[in-house]
Amino acid sequence: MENSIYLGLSRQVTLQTNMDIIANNVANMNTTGYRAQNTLFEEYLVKPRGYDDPLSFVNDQGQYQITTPGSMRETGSQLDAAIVGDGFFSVQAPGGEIQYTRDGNFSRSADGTLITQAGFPVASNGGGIITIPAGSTEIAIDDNGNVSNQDGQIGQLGIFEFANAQQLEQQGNNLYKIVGGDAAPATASRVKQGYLEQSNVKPVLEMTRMIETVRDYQSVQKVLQSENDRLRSAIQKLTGGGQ
Amino acid sequence: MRSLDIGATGMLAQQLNVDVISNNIANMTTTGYKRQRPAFLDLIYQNIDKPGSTSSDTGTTVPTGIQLGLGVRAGAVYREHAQGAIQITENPLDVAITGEGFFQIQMPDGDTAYTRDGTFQMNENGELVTVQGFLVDPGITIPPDAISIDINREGEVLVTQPGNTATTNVGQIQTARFVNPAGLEAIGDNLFLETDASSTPTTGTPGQDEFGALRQSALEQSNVNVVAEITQLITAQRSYEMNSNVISTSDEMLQTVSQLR
Repeated sequence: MENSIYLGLSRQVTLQTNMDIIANNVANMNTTGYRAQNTLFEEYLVKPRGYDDPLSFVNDQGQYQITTPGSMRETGSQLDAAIVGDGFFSVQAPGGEIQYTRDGNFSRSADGTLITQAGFPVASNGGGIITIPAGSTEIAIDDNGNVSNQDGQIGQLGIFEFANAQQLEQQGNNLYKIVGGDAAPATASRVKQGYLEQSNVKPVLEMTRMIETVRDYQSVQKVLQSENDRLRSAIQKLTGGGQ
Repeated sequence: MRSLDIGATGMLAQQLNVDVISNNIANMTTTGYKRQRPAFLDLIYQNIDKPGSTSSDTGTTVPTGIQLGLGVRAGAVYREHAQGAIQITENPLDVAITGEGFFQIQMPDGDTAYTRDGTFQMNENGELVTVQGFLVDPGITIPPDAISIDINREGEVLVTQPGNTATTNVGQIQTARFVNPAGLEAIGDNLFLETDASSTPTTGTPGQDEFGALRQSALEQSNVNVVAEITQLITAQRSYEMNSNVISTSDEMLQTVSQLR
């Protein structure tokens, strides 16, 4: 009987998920290497008893990552690197697992290990760590991710590409974990030293999507309201309404 | 509603961003000041529908899933130790380091602090001190009858005394280097202390190996780039506004709900 209310409710729940994802995109507007997320909705058909036509509910089916590159910001710092292309830097997450990031804002720990801002060691192409010797002055990172100082090469950053970037699961701390599929050593990515990739969140897009979300939410609410009113007046009429 | 809290994390992050930028701008003309930058990281994710979970008994899997991010956090505020511009001064006791290294300063409590600010003076005993009166380490005493003071690029302090054509070496300025200078702890007054993250210092002679050379009658300006700071400030302000928009929109959605009778 209250199917129209439940239909509206299914839409409102998905709109809230949508709003949460927009909010997270906006909050991460200035997060280095962050990639914007977008929701996917699907129609969910149910054919209740006594109805000829099925009812169409909405369900949030999934989300996808926007893979357009973010803009590059020049920092001039020797330990900053950005990737031009679809590759990801590899990082040794706690537990020794290799995770991936687009955030090339690296630092050195006290013993010279190249680390991320969350303190995790940056992995080399072989999966090991990269230690920059204490006496290094001129640290250079070339197109292929080779890290060298004035005395020669130190190591190579592990840069990987994925057949389907949607198979990466966000872990927080700007890291991604691969779920299904394999990481292949990068062939079409170049490293740019002294630059950082900004997030690819497009503020205008997020703001318009946000307005759209809230207006949709309100119009669904209107439907619920009028359905509620209709039910009430039906009950009043059928029961004589005290008149 | 998650989006309310997410918007709040965004606003907090941008507030911190503005704090850091304003401190950089305030220290635009502070000798030896090194600009700071916040590094933001995305917060944890809530797996509503895990990517790769099975969607049917024939083994098909969800290609993307639903992961709701819970906002942003500041991972670090780090210091960029790039060289600042060198300004020529008239004071023979002003010293700038061109390249890597820090002057070592003896703190009143006996600790050693490190600074890039070479605005040195003499105290009543002729000892080389900072503007706050803290001794430069290793100590250097200038004889009261010195006519001229020369500090060469290797940090040797040479004075000329009356009736003597040759210069006398009265001391050697040594500098200290760190593996990770970004890990130093700032304590104000342009001074830094070593931490576990910075590693222990290596001291050496300026101008030798990887130690930067000294330059007398010069000071290192701050490395703050005003244009970059202002553009960052604009970005920070706009993202602050947009995050507050997220909060008011979420509020509007909640209001819609509460109007349902």
